[in-house]
Amino acid sequence: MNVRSILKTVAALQLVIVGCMAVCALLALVLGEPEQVAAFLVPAAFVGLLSATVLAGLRHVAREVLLTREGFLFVTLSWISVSLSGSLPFVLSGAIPDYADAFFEAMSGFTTTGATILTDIEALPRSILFWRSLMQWLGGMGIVVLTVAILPRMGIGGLKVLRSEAPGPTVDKLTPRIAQTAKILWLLYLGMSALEVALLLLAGMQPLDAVMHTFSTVAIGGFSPRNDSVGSFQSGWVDLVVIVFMLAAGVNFSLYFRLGRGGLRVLVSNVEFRVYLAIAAAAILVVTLTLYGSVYDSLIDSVRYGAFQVVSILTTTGYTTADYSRWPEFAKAVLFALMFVGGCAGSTAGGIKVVRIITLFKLAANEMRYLIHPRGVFPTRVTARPLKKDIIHPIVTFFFLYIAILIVTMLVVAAAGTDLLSSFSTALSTVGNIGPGFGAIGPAEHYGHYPMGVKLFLCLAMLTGRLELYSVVVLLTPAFWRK
Amino acid sequence: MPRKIVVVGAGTTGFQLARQLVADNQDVTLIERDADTAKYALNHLDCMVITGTGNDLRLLRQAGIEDAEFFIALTDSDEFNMVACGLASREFSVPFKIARVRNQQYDARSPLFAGSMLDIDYIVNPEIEAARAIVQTVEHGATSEIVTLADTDIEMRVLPIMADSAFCGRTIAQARAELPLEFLVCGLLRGERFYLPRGDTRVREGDELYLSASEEVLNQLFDRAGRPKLRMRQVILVGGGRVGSFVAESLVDSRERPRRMRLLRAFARRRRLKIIESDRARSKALADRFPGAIVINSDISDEGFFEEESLKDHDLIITTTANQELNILAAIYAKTYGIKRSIALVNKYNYLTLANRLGVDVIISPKNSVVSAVLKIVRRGRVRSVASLFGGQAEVIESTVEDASRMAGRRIQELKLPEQSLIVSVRRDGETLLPRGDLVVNDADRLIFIARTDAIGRVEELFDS
Repeated sequence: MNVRSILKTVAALQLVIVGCMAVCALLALVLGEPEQVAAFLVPAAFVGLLSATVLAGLRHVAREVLLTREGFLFVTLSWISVSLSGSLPFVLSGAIPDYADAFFEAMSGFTTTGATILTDIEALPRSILFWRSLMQWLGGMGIVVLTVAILPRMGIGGLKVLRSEAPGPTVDKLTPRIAQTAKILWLLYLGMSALEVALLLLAGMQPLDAVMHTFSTVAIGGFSPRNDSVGSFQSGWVDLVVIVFMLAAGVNFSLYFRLGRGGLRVLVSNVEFRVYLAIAAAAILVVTLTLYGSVYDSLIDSVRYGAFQVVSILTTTGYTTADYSRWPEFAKAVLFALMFVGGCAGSTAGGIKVVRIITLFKLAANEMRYLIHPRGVFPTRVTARPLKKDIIHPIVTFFFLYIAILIVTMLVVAAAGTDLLSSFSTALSTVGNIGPGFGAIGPAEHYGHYPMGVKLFLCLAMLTGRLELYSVVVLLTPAFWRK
Repeated sequence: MPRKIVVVGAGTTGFQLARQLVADNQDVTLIERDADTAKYALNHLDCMVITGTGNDLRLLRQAGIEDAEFFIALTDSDEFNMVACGLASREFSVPFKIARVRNQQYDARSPLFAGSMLDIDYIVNPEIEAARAIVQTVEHGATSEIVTLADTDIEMRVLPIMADSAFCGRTIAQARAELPLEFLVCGLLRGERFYLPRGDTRVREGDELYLSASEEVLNQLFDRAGRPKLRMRQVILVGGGRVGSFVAESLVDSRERPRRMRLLRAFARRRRLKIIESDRARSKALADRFPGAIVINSDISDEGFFEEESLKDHDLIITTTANQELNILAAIYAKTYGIKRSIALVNKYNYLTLANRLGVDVIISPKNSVVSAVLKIVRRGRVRSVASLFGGQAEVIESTVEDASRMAGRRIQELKLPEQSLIVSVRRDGETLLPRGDLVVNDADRLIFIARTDAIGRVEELFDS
C-alpha cells in the first residue's frame, strides 16, 4: 500500500478546500459580515499549513499512479478529510457549535446528501450558508469525475452495462486520459451551473440565492439557504427551472459529452435515460392525480408541487416546495418507492441508480425463462450486447449490500429510540444521499435531534452510499489491509 | 465437344461432380492426395485420376491443365483451394477457376477476389448453399424439395405418393384429366430410379412425383394430396453449426427495429425459433447472436428432452448437426412425436433417398448443392443447368432458341424430343407458358427442360442449328 502517495494526493486536495475557504472569507467581507472572515481564514491557514507540511515532507515521494486498491482508500480518505476540514468554519463561526454536528453537516454537503441538523437555516450568516452550498457543488464535481472516469476503471459503478451503446470504444472513457476527461466533465458541470444561475436570475431570484441553489441543484445536493427550501420563493418559474436542472443533473454526464457528436439520438437511444424519464413521468402522473382534489384544488398546482417533489426525490436532491408529509398516503408511498431508484449512473445523483434496476429486472425476467426452459441459454441484455458475468455480479451484490446497509443503518437509528418509519426512512435518505425523508426527518424536520453516535454513523452511511458502497465496504474487509 | 476439366479433391463432392461431368461426356481429370480415395475414384469413374496434391506444378501439367477450360478446387481447405486456383491462373492461364470456400469471411464480394490477387471466378460455399435451400423450403411450408425457376412463376416440387393420394393407382393422364388444374408431371422416382413418366404410366404408392406448375396451383395440388401447406411458425433448429447459424440468421430477424414496429410484431403471429445446440460455448454464442430465438443447450437425443421442451406443438424441425445419422433419426423421431414437418441435412448420397423413404419431408445436402452449383457453371453456354435432381439422375436445364435452330417455328409435338426429356415451360416476352403440344416454338423463346442425365447431350443437340 502506497500510503505516502495517497497522503500526498489528499493533501493536494485539501489545498483546493483552502482556496475555497479563502474565497468565502472574501465573500464575507463583501456581504458585510467581517466577523465571519476569521471563521474561514483560521481553518484555511491551519489546513493550509498542515497540507503544506505534508507535501513538503513527502516532496521526494514521486507521484505515482494509484493502484485500484489504493484508489479505494484514497477516495474514502478524500471525502472524510474534506469533511473534517470543511466543518471547521461552522464551528469557528459559532453557527454550529458542536463539532459532531458540524462534521455531519459537512459530510452531508460533500456527499451531496442535503441532510441538515439545522433548525433555523436563515439565522446563519450568509457567508456560512454560501460555504455550505459550495461544499455540495465541490462534492458534486468530485462525484461526476469519480463515477464517470474513475470508478468504472476500478470495476465499480453501473456504467459498464451501457458500454455497448457508445459509438467510440467505451462510455466510461470519454477521452483516453482521466485528467482530460475530468476537465471536460468539469466544463460541462460549470456550463450547466452557469446556465441555471442565469435562468434563476431571470426567474427573479436574488443573485446569491441563485448561485447557492444552483450549487446544490447541479450537485443533486439539496441544501437550501432557506428554511422552506425552494418552496420559500413561491415562484412557479423557479420551481420549473429547478425541476429541469434536477432532472438534467440526474442524467449520465458522459451522455452530454457525446451529445455534441451524436446529437439527440445519443439521449434517445440510451436505455437508462429512457427508463429514467419514464419513471419520472409515471410517478409525476400518479402523484398529480392523487394530489388533485385532495390537497390542491387546481390541476396546475397539483402538477407543479407533485412534479417538483417527484423529481427532487427521484434524483435524490431533497429540495422541497411542499410539506409532503401531509400528502395522501399513496402519494407518500410513491415518493418512498422513488427513494430506492435514484438517478442515472454517471450523474451526481445517489440511490441504487436506474441502470442497476433495469439490469436486475432483466435478470429476474431471465430467471423466469430458465424456469420454463431449464436447459436454455439466455444472455442478459440491457443493450444489444449481452452482459458478461463480471458486470452482472457486482450489480447483484450491490443490490444486496445496499439493502443490507439500509437495514444495519435502520437498526442503529432505531436503537436510539426512533420509530420504525423514521428509522427506515433515515437509512434510505442517508445511504441514498437524498436528505429529507419521512417521520422524524420529514420535509419540515431535521437530523439535529439524533444522538451524536447516530449522527456519526449516518455520516458513514452517507459516505458509503455516495462512494457506490464498494469503495468504503472494501476497506472494512481484512483482506484489504493484508500485504 | 468434350471440355477439359481438372478437379482437385475426390472427396464426396469432388467424386459426385466428376461422376456427373463424366456422364456429361466431359474430359475430367481428378487429382486426389489420398491414395485410397484416388483408387476408389479410379475404380468407379471413367476418368483420369492422379494421386498427388493439387498445387504440384509438374503434376498439374501431367493432368493436362494447359488445355483445361475449368479448374475446380474442392478440397477441405479453403486456403489450399484459393492458392491452387491462383496457381492455375498464373502458371497455366486456365480460363475459369472455381474454388470451394467455406469461410464466410472470404466472401465472393471481397476485394480479394476482384481480380488481380486471386483469380477465382466463382466461389461455392456448401454451407451457404445448403442453408439457402433450407430457408427456401421453409418459406414454402417444407412440403418438399423445391426447384424455383429463375424469372418464372413456375416451381417444381416433389410429392410423395401415399395410399390415399388423388394420384395413387391412376395413370398420369387420368390424374391430369381429373384435376382441373394446369400442371405438369415432369418426373417420377420409383425405387432408386428416375423416370420421365408418360401419360399411361400408372402411379403407385411410394412413388415420388415431380410436379411443376405455378406456386398457387402446386399449393392446391398438395392440398388435395393430403399435404396442405402449413405456416411454419414454431420452428426447432437442431445444431447451430455453420449451416444452422446461416439458417437461423434468415429465420429470425436479428436486426434492430424501431420500437413501434416491434410492438406491432408482438401482436402479429410471428415465427418462433428454438435452437438446440449440444455444445455449451456454441450455444452461448448463438444466444448472443440471436436475441429473437430461444437457445437451448442440450443434446436432441437426450431422454425426456422432447417432453421437457414440449416440442410436439411445433410445426417444423430442421436438423443440421454434423452427425447426419442423428439428423435423420431426430427428424424421424420428431415426426412420430407430432411435429408436422421435418427437414434434415444429409450428406451421404446413399442416405438421401433412404431418409425420404423413412418419412423425412425434405432432405438437403450441402455437397449436392455444391455439385449443382458447379455444374450450372460448367454447362453454361447456350444450355445451362438450373438444378440437379436426385443426386444427379436428372437435370433441369434451360436454353434460348436461336433463329437458326432446328426448333424455331415448329410445334412442340413435332419436335423430336429425346427419350427421357420433357419441356417444362416456355418463357416468352416475360410470360410463362405451359407447353401444350400445339404451341409453336418461336425464335428467342426460353425453354426449360427436365431430362435424365443420359439424355442431356441429345437435348443440347436440339439447339444446334
